[in-house]
Amino acid sequence: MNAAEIFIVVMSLLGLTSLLSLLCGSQRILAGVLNFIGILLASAGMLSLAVRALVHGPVQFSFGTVRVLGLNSQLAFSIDALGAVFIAIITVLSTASSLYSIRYLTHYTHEDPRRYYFPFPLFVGGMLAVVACSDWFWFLVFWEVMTLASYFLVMFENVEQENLSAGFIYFFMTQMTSMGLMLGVILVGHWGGSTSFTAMPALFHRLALNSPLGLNVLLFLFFIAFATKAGMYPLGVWLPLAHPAAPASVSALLSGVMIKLGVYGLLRIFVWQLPMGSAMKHWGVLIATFGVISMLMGTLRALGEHDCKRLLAQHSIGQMGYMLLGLGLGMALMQSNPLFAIVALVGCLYHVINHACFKSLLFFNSGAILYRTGTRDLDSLGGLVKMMPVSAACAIVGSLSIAGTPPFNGFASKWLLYQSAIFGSPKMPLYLFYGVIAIFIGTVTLASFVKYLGTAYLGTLPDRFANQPKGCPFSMECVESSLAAACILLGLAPGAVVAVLLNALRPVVEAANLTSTAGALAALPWAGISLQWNGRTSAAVAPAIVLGGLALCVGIGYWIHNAVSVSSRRAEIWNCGELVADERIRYRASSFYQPFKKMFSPVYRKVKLPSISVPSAVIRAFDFDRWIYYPVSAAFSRLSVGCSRLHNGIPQMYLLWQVLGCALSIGLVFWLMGGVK
Amino acid sequence: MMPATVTERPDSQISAPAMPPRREIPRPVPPPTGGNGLFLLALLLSALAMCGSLGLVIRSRGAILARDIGSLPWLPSKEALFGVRIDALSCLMLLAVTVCGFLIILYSGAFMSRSNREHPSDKGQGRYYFFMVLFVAAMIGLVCSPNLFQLFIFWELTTLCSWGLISFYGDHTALVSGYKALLMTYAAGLFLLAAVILVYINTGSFAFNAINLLAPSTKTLVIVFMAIAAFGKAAQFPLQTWLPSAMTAPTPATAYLHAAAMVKAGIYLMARLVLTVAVFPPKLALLFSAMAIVTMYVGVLQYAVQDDLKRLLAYSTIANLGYMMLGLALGALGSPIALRGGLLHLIGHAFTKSLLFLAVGAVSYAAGTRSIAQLSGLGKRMPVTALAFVIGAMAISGVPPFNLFWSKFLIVAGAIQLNTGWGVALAVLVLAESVIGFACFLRVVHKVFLGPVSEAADAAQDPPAGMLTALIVLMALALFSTLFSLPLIGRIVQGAS
Repeated sequence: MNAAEIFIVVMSLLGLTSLLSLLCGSQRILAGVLNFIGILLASAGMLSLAVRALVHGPVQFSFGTVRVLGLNSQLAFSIDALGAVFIAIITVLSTASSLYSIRYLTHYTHEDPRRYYFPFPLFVGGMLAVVACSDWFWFLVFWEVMTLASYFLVMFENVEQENLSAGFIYFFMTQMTSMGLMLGVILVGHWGGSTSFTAMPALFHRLALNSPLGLNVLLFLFFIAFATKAGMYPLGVWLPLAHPAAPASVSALLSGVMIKLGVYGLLRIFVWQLPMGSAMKHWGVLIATFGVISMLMGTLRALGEHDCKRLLAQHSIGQMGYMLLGLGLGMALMQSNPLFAIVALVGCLYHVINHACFKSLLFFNSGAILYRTGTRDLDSLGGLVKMMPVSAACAIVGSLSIAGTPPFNGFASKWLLYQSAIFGSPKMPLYLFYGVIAIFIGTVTLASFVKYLGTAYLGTLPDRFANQPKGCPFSMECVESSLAAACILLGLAPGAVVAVLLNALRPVVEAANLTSTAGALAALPWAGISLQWNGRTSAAVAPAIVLGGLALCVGIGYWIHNAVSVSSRRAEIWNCGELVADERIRYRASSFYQPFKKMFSPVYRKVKLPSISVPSAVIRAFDFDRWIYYPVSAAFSRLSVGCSRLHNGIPQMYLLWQVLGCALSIGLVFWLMGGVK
Repeated sequence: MMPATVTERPDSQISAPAMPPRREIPRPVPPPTGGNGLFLLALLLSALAMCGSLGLVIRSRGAILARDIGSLPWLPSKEALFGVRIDALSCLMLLAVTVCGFLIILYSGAFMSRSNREHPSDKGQGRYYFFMVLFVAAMIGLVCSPNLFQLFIFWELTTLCSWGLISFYGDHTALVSGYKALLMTYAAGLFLLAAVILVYINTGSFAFNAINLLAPSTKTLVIVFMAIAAFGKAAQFPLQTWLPSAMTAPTPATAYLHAAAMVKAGIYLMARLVLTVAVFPPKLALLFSAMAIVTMYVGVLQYAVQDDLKRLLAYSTIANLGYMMLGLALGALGSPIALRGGLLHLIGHAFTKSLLFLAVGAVSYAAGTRSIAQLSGLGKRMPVTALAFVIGAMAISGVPPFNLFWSKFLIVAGAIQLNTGWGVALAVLVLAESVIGFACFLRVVHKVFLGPVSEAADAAQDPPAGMLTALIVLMALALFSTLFSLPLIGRIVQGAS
């Protein structure tokens, strides 16, 4: 089967899965299993295409030109190595989420499961089509289809007012900037004659020479659309509202995959299609700056959250800041220091993969917490490690990953980003400042997750959970453990990942005329990486070696402990005299970091969104009935009433009218005949 | 006679001026209603019309089919006065008119019954189906007219039918609204008559392309008169006020009049003008585009203050007709893409707006009220109807993959294609209006169909099979209508150039 056929089969399979879910009625498990099988098969198909793209080179196919729309838009798809990376992320996480949903959805006893299982495959299909397509018009269409399907998923639970306003703000902000994207696509078609990806570099080149204003307007329109989806502050205010409103399996997909497609769009436009020049540099600085702002605002605000899903959503904004910083640095340094530009871009892409892993893991965790305890509020939880040990272990892995602790995966990508920020441009201390902020935010992230782990999993279990069943359903735990394993593996083998990403970035590397990248990020044995420039190794990381060493030491320590037999007595942990686990006197999540909140209080102000209202004067002004039509007809009524007074019922007046009329007629006839002859 | 003072209040609160107390004219007792029989007859006739039109559309494939019927001895003209002429534009309109007509008559069967909680009555069905079927016939006659004379006759017939349907329920508000609609559209129709007479006097023929034989100043005058008639019929600014008041009609009648058929007659006339006139005066086209965008904003700014679901849809119709006019005006200015967009919007809107109106009708059928403030959480009680309204709302806001996305895209692309500052300004204004309209519709969806179940909504349930079938078919059409309309529209634009 060739690529086009596989793609059609995949999309039809997803459509069929959607339709089949309608037949399941309210059988949640059945619908969930059918959904999982459909998505698994479709993912397998797409993954085969992705692997083909990674190994053999770009996979291209097209379904003809839609000429009648007057824009020469080709329904063309092209999966290159970058697309393959994103397809891998989408397919793996969608499969995980669909497996997780099978049991998770039984928690929602009052909601019709068809409203979840019908849009779910369409959402996945939309995301896959967005990443695969190579024409901006069809990109826009699939982008909007993806947004529409995700809206229905976010609105799965729609009785509470806060869910409704979350969905509204999400859809409204995305739609507003998508209109900008539509205008951008139209301008591309009009100025360039074609909306295909391959025609873009020439168009940008021409615009840069003839009309820099046009170029910047175009870039701005694309930028705001992708930045809104990526959750960049301040356009990303929808994120902390929408991700908690959605069910956890959907939040995992939204935060883990969909917002990355904003980064994908930015990569395509700014790195793949925009030629090198001053525009790239200036937009790079802008994107990096907004990345740092997102990092700060997202992570600092997360410190003040005690709803676990809101906390994770704020951290999504923060971690997107890292990716945007990497992207911005990659763009800004491309001309002056291409080596570190590539390092920054590799870091950005690596962080995309990592964030997809650990953020979805954390959302699945919060879903497990909600499933077992019925609440998301960290203030009322504690000691869950006794109730859900597997989930707790996965939560620890996820939290340490997001905080960038070695040997987990977050560390590797952040390490690359720090390197490029700090060493990227000796002349411009701005990037160094950004690097320092990034390191600081890494610490803040760790602080925030210490709070998350401490309040949710450690401590004493509240009495009301004492008789709850232990653990979570196997499918949910399976998903969480696999993702935790992925986090660990991605962290232990950065060399392999970097090799794949360098392959994905090969067109960029070639465009930047870099000959020495082969040595920039060299692989060390045991899948480590080392950064080499100016002919010497400046930095290296090899987690597997370090971990191996640690494991060896632990093994030796354990052997020594066992070799010497010492009697030991188990004792209760001293908990500072707190014998009664009273929930009201425990140290709550919202009490953490109070000094922080006081110091950075402007950050914690609630975002007030303006409410639109039309002034009533405008409404009255447009009410033509009131100004024109009714007054005119009233005047006409009065006129006819006035004329009707002629009929006053006196016969003499009527005779007088007749005489006058005769006289008038005779006079008129004489005048017409030209006088009496 | 119309009352003297009024504000933007529902027409039911219009106070009459100081006049002698109205005598209640005793109504004749209506004959016993053979409701079912009448409904089946109307359904059969409209089904025949639909099948016939589909057959004609498929057979003609966009080519011109013409047949002359006859003339009048006292009205000499170069061609036959009466006849049938079907070209690609007629085919497009036939599709919209007859398919919607059939679905809406199917819907009416269940709607006009005693189970309707808003208007529980099955009286007057003879009158209702008479006007509805006559209306379908008048629209078919209108779009198949070979010349201006026959077009005018059927134009006036549609005005009459619209009066009959708007004032159907017979209460004071309905009568006032019907009269207002009649006056405004009839007055506008007189301008059409003047234009037709001008063409005849100057060229001796009633044919559409006789306009091209006129002197430029007469041609401009004729186009302006026809535009006034079209603006009146299509509820454009400044003649838009009859449409919101016309919501007193039974909801399926409103769906037909104000979504699928009557208001499209005005657009049809403008489309004929734009396609037939060889050299369209550019200043006029510019003026029409300006008036179209003003209409769009007049419509959209009123969305937020409406409490009645049908009135909201009426203003939405006004704004969407503005889209069509804009597409046609831009087409006259020289952008074939915008012309395609305007025509695609015509047929797409017919299906989508009918879907929305019929969904609102189902809501009022089941809940007894159309007030946004009183309704909430309907999605839990009437899931199919809620889905229909949500799909309609998404479609009307131009969200892919529904049909109106393609037409809006084409209209904006056409505006940009003009390469002028005015074109860019129009594009930005259209996109802004689209966002505002989308926000308002989304707010209404959230308020009425999502959220906690309100008292009025508690007893509601999905409507009976006839109504549900119409909704489901229209949902499918809202998704797929672009597939069959685009080739037809390509034929139309090809034929004109």
